[in-house]
Amino acid sequence: MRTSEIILLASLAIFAGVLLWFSLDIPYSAGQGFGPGYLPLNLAVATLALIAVLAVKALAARRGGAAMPGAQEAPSGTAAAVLPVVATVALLALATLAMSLGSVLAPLGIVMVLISWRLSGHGLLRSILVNAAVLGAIYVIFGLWLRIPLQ
Amino acid sequence: MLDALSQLAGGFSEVLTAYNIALIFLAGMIGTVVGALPGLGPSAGIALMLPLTFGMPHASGLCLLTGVYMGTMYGGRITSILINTPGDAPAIVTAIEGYPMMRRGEGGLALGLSAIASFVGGCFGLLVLIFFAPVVSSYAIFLGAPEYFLLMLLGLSTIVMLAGDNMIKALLMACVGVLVSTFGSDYVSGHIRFAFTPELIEGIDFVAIIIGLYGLGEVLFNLEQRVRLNLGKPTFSVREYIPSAKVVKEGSGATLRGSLLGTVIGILPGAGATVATFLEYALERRIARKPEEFGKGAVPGLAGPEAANNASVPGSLIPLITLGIPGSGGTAIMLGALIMFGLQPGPLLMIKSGDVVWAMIAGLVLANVFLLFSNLLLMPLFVNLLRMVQGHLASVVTALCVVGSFSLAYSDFNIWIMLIFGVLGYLMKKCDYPTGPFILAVVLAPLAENYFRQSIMLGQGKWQIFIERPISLSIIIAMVVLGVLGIVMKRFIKRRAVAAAD
Repeated sequence: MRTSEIILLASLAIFAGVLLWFSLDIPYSAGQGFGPGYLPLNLAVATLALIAVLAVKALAARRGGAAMPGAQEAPSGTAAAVLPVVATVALLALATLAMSLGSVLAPLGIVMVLISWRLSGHGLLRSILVNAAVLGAIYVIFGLWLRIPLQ
Repeated sequence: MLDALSQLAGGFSEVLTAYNIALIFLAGMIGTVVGALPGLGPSAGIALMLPLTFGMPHASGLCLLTGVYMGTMYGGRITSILINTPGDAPAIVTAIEGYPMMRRGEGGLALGLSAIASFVGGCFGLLVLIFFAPVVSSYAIFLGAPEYFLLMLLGLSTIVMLAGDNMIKALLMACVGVLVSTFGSDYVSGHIRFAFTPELIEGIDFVAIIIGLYGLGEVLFNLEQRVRLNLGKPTFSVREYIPSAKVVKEGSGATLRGSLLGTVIGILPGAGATVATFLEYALERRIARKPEEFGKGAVPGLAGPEAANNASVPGSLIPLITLGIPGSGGTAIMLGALIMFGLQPGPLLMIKSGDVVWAMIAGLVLANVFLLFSNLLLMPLFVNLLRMVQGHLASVVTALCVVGSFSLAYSDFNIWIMLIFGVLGYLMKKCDYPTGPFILAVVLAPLAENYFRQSIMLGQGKWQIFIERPISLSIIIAMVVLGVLGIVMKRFIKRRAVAAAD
């Protein structure tokens, strides 16, 4: 099982576990029917069970592969390949925090230029010009036409 | 029949304004470019356009979304044929036959033939939609809560079963989708579930989820994969796009078969364009007089799946507008859009909001015509647009995702939601976990839960209500039959593969 899949399943397991815990406080049954706690509790249990099945299958496959000499698990993405993803997510998180200062477009523009320049490999001037044009178009469509307060 | 035609005429009268015509044309162009770009598909296209529909008249908003949907079906074939890089999953089959044709100097013919087949398929699907949807709608009002619950369950189970070897993963994502949908206040009791922050009292905004999952998720995946297209400078004359009489004769049967199969597959809840194209390709290969030509540029192998691809779009709209049950990920997003517009999906949609629905159908007819001509005459424009956009796709789509999410409630909370589901979408794509069951569950689960609890109350706490009603029983039998067929087919295919290997 690749690292990314372990991260995905672990996150989903935590998510389901938290919802399972909180759904214990929600009414399970109501009169002649089911209460609001019925679906989340049962589906949280089902989710955890399915994650367990996938984990067991992966372990069994690994043991079966290890028993065969020379067998290797398919290599997962390298850390260098994943770096742009991590960087983009971090940049977006910082930009979203910065938006509380009042402007949506300013932090977004900086993120766009950084993505174009450092992650997509374009020159700085080209990144600035292209993204300024895109931001301008977005302002016209969303800010002026749809009247969404972006500044 | 006459009633349907008069309703359609009413739809055209609403759509034939300069604003709507320009919108439909633009939607088709955007959809074509989005469909051609690997990493973005119909769902991403519709998701990114959704925020633009706020403030539009409902008919115009739906025309925009369906125009983009149809456009992506035309667009996927462009990069498939030119550079053997399918723009989306339904276009994979197009690359198998279209690219060899390009390599032997018949690229213009491949593009023209696929555009014409797409148009014919779209027309066929639209005819079925126009005449069949009102009939289904008139009978659908006899369905009750148990039937609706089971139909939704049928849709969800079909999409899980069609996941092939990934069935457990599909089932897991369906369960996670249902869990996500439980946030917020419960329809029946009003009890508020999992409101960890005040913004969650109304649940997690569906649009923020799909923008994150299909928009940002794809961007993150493409950043890692570093997909770059080398489109070259193809030069085709208009004459090359027009197939000869011999080619028309060779492809006409496949086009008609693909149109029929695509429409039927599109109607089935849970199936979609990808299933339609693969099934049609397998059928053409099976009945071909010269099956050895397949894989080397066979005309029926290109025309049939392209027709099926586009026929499935109107087909998938039939269960959506008549029963309120989406047939695929794209129509699941359309369902969310209908709810967002304040329209009530289901059989009452065509009664209470018939003018909007018929305007949407009229818009789709126009879009189909526009797309044929634009894909034949504006090919160099599309190639240049693709070349210009694809280098900056990451930053452009990221910006659209952020602004689109913010515009939902003018709050950064939805940007955080978009970010979280963007990371989820990236991980799902990277680890080959299907998104269709997830998004279908997010959209259908609140409705299905509501119908389920209503059914149990109707049955006075007993589950027998699902068996006592004849239509419910028929749906259950259909589910069991489909399940058994799925397992049997899987074992049969596995056994044949083992026998072939030996």
